[in-house]
Amino acid sequence: MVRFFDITENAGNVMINLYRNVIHMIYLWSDTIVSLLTVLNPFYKGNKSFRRQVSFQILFTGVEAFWLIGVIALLCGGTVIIQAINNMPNFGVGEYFGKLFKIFVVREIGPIVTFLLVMGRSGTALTAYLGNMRVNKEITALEAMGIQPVDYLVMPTFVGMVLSMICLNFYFAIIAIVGGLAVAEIIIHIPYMIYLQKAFASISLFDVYFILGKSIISGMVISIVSCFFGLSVNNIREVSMVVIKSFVVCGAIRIVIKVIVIAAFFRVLFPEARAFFG
Amino acid sequence: MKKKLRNKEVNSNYIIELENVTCTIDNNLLCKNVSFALELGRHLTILWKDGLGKSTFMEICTGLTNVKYQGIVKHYGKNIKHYANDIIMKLRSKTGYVFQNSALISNHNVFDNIALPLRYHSQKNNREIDNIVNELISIYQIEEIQYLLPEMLTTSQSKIVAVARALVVKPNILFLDEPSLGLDHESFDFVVNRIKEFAQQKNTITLVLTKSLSLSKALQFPVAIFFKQKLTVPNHFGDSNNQSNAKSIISLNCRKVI
Repeated sequence: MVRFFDITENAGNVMINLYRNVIHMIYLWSDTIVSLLTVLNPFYKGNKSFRRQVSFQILFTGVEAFWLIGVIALLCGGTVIIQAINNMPNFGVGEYFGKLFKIFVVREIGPIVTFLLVMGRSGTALTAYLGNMRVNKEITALEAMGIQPVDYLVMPTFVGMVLSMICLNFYFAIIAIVGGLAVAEIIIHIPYMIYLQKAFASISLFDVYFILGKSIISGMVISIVSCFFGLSVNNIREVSMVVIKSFVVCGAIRIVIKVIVIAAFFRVLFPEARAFFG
Repeated sequence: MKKKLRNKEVNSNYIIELENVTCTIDNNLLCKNVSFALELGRHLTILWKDGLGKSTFMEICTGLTNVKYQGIVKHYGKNIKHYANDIIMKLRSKTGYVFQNSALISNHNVFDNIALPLRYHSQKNNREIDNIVNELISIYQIEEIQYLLPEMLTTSQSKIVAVARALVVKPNILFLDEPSLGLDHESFDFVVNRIKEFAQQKNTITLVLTKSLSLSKALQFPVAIFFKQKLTVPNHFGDSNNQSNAKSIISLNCRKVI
């Protein structure tokens, strides 16, 4: 029989664990930033594996995902362009093709699709890898050698992931525009150069910063959450559970950050919306 | 007063010291009031039956575990819990640790595994580090496997690589958790010789935890036996000199007299 006290006790435990996890993630993030600043200090001569580890992470997260992201960007771009070109003139907004494409694909779909793919592909793999390292006592071995796991595993992953996300997001945007228009030209025979000009003309420096910001936040969230859950494993049974957990928590954190940023800086980020909201 | 006490603690001759350590895991008593102290130039082998928490005890001695225990573990005369994290890491940079399962980093090849502590701690450049590692690899006769990943090694090979990784930083303290587990005869002799070489150097400490009687005989270190959750010195094991050494190491009363 489930008693009221059990329910409240479980709910309380969940809240306490949530609070603890959030605090530990913030600690891990701050430790990572401190470790990064230490390595970037020109007088610091330790941790010579930093570049090697970062390049390994970029290879795994960025380079190996190029084909996957490229194909998906092509399909996303092509679909949105075909739909927009067919339907926008019916509503009398055909001239806003460039702007709509920018907001839809470059600002929103690009970062979210890249985030999901990288999280699903690299983030989960990273969690499982660190979890197995913990179970096989490799993390303890690092600590026994006086090597901080944050310096050796988390920080290079963090840097590699952020750099990869920046590259992949810009890559997605370019492939979605150029490749998507090419797909549309093959299927519905549009004037390629005119639409290409419209799409690129609508993109401003603000959009570049926007993608950059989203990439950095996504990279940070994926790396810190994956590492946190990977390092928190106690036994082999937990590895599969934390992999799923890290995926879900990553998505949730990204949505929370997005809602907070939109709520706080909506008018600054989207000045064009002032016309509607006063 | 506190300052004086602190100085007194730090200036202790004993590098590793356990005072009345009692540990219980999941209602199972691991050890009860275990005490021993090792100063520079002392080495100890503890014979410990399998499955009774040997690795956990070793991790307690090194301060690597989060398991709760009663009593005090001191390194360089100071309670290990009172050290700041970065100081502990610095102390460990001069410590070698061979794990029971070798614990080689799985996505690094043998060369990178051995070079790992040097790359992290050493002020030397990469070329110098590579030279040191190459030299060590030729001494350990593992040239043929130096570019293999740990998953492709046999137990003997991974153990030898683990010993090489522990000794590459020229440590002062060497912790060995079952160093002879899974070794063939040739590798056994090789590992024993490396440990003996290390022990013959000045100002070093070796702590070996093993179940292997043959290893403890081959090493010829003072031997203590873990029996009924306590450390005792066997009466009919090794020469009398080793016995008295072991007694002085594990008995706090004897230690104070010395």
